[in-house]
Amino acid sequence: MIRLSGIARTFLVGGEEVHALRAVDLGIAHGEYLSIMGPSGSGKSTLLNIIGLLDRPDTGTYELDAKNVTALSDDELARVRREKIGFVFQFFHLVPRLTAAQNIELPMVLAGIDPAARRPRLARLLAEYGLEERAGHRPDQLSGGQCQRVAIARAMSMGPTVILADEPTGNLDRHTGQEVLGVLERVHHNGGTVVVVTHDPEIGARSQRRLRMLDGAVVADEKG
Amino acid sequence: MRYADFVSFTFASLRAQRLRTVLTALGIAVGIAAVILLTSIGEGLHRFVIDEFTQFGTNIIAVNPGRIQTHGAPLGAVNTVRPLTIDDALALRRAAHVQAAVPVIQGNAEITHAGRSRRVTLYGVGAEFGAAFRMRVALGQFLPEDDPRTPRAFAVLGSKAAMELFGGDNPLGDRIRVGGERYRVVGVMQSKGQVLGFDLDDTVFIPVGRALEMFNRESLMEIDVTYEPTAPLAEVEEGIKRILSARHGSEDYTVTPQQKMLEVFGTVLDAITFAVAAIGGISLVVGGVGILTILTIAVAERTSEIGLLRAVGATRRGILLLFLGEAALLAVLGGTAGLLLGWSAALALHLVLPALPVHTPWSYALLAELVALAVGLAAGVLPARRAAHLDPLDALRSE
Ligand SMILES: Nc1ncnc2c1ncn2[C@@H]1O[C@H](COP(=O)(O)OP(=O)(O)OP(=O)(O)O)[C@@H](O)[C@H]1O
Ligand SMILES: [Mg+2]
Repeated sequence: MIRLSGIARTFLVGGEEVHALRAVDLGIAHGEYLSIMGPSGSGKSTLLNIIGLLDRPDTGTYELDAKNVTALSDDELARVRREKIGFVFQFFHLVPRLTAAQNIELPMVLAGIDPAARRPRLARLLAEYGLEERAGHRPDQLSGGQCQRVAIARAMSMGPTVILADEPTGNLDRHTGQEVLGVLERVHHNGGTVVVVTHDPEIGARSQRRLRMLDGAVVADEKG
Repeated sequence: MRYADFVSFTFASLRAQRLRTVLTALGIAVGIAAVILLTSIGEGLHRFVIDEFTQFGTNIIAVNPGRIQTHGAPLGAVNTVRPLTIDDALALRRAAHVQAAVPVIQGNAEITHAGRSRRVTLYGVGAEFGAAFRMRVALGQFLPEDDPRTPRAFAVLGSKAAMELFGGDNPLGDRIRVGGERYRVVGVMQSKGQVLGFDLDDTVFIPVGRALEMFNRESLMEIDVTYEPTAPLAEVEEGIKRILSARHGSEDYTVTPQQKMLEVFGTVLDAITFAVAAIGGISLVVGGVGILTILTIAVAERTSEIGLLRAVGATRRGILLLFLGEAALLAVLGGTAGLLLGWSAALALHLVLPALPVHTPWSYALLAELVALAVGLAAGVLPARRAAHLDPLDALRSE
C-alpha cells in the first residue's frame, strides 16, 4: 500500500549538508500498526512527513495505493493528503476558536462535503471517541487527552488510508498517553493502518511492527 | 469548500477577535460614512442650485450689452458698445421660435404710501415679464401691454413690499410714489421667497421705459428671451444674433442661454461632489491600511493553523481565499456600518440644519461600497498571499 524506495532527504544547514534520510526503502501493508523509534535527529519525523506528503524526497520514489505520488503538483498533493492521510501531532494542532465537533469535521468541510452527509459521520466519530459530551467545547475547555482524541477523530474523519502520528503522547502524562495509545490501537484493530513515531520503548513494544532508525537510515525492522 | 462553510468559517475567525474586528471595520465605516455624508451635502447643494435656477423655466436666453469671451456676466463694456434698447427687445420678438423678449433694468428705489416708505428692489420690465418668468399675480394684474415708449405710470408690488406699505389693506388702485414719481398700483405678485439670496418679494415692478428715465440710463441691463421649449437652441441663438448684429453693426452683446449656464453649473457642482467624495475616499484608503495591518498580524498569529489546514488538505488557493474572504468581510461589515452611519448623519444634519440642502446620491453610496470592497480585497492580497505561500511543514512547526 505504501512503497518507498531509495528515499533520501538532505537539508542544507549553514552551508553544511545534513542527511536526514539516506536511501530508505520501506513497504507498509494495509492494516499494519508500525512504530518508528530512534534517537533524536535520526530522521523519524522527516520520514513520517514524506509519507504524509508534507515534504518531498530529494531522490527516490514513493507509491501510495499503487500510484506514484513523488512528482505530484502542490494542489494534487493537497488533495491526496485530504483523502488518504490522517495526521496526529504532538501538540494536537486544533483550531482554538472552533468547537471539538467543528475541529473534527474540518477536513470534511475543506473537502466540500455536504452538511447532510457530514452530520451522521460526525455523530459516529463523536460517539466512537467518547466525545459526545464535549462536542460543543472549545480546545481550551478540553483536557490534553480529550484534545488528542479530537485530533484522532479529525484524522479519521475522511476515512484515510493511513494514520500518521508523530509522538502523539509526547505532550501527555503517562496515564493519558496510555489512553490515547489505546485509541490508536483501536483504530488499528478496526482495520486501520497506523504509523507512530515515539520515544517511549514501552509504546514501541506494544506495536506489531517496530522500525529503528539511526542517522537517517532504517537499522532494524522487527515484526511480531 | 462550500460557500456557506466558507462564510461561516470566515465569520468565526472574525468573531474570535471581536474588538479587533470592530476597530478595523470602523476604519472602513468612517471612510464610507465620510463619502456618503460629504457627497450628500455636495449633491444637495447641486440640486438646490439647479432648482433655484430652473424655477423660472429653462428655455430662457439672456442678452446683455458688451462682449465677453466666455459665458458669465459681462466684464464691462468695450468702447464700441451700443446700448441695448427697448427697440432691440421689440425687434427680437420677430426672431424664429421666440415667444417673448422682455427688456429688464434693475435698481433700487424708495417707495412711499401714506407716510410709510421703504427701500426696495426696482425692476423696470416689459409686460411679458411675469409670464416669461412664471411669476403670478396674487391681486389685480401685471403691467399692461402699453406702448413701451410711452407707458402709463402703473406699478406692481412684490408681496412683501405690499405688506410693508399697506399692511392688510388692498392696495389695488391706490397711488404710491416710486423714486419720487406717482404711480398707481395695478397688481400684487404672489410670494416667491428668496432665490439665491435675493428677496423677490421686496420689490416693485414698473414699465421699463419709465425705469430707464428714472435712472437716466440709455441701455437696458438685459433682454430675456423665451423660446418654444421644443425649438433647437442653436437655431434660436442664431436668430437672435442675426437680428441684433444687423441692428448694431457688430456683435457687441452677449447671448447666454440658461441651458448652457446650467450645464456649466452642473459641471462645476459635479466636480465639487466628486472632489468631496475623493476626500472621503482617502479615509477609505486609511481604513484599507488597517485591514492590511490586522491581516498581517492574523497571518503571523495563525501560522500554525495555516499549516494544519494545509496538512488536512487545503490548497494554497484555499488558504488565499480564506484570508481574502476575511478582508472582504471586514470591508463589507465596515461598509454596511458606514452606510448606516453616513446616512443617519445626513438625516440628522438635515433635521438640525433644515436650511442645508442634503441629498444622498445612491450611486455614490453604491460606488463607495464597491470601493470599500475593492480596498478590502486589495489590502487582503498581500497577507493572504503570504499565508498561501507558507510551506505547510514550516507553518506547522511554528508555535
Ligand atoms: N527543516 C529542516 N531544516 C534543516 N534541517 C532539518 C530540517 N528538518 C529536519 N532537519 C534535520 O534532519 C535531521 C532529522 O530530523 P528529524 O526531525 O527527522 O529527526 P527526528 O528523528 O524526528 O528527531 P526528534 O526525535 O528529535 O523529533 C536532524 O538532524 C534535523 O536537524
Ligand atoms: Mg521528530
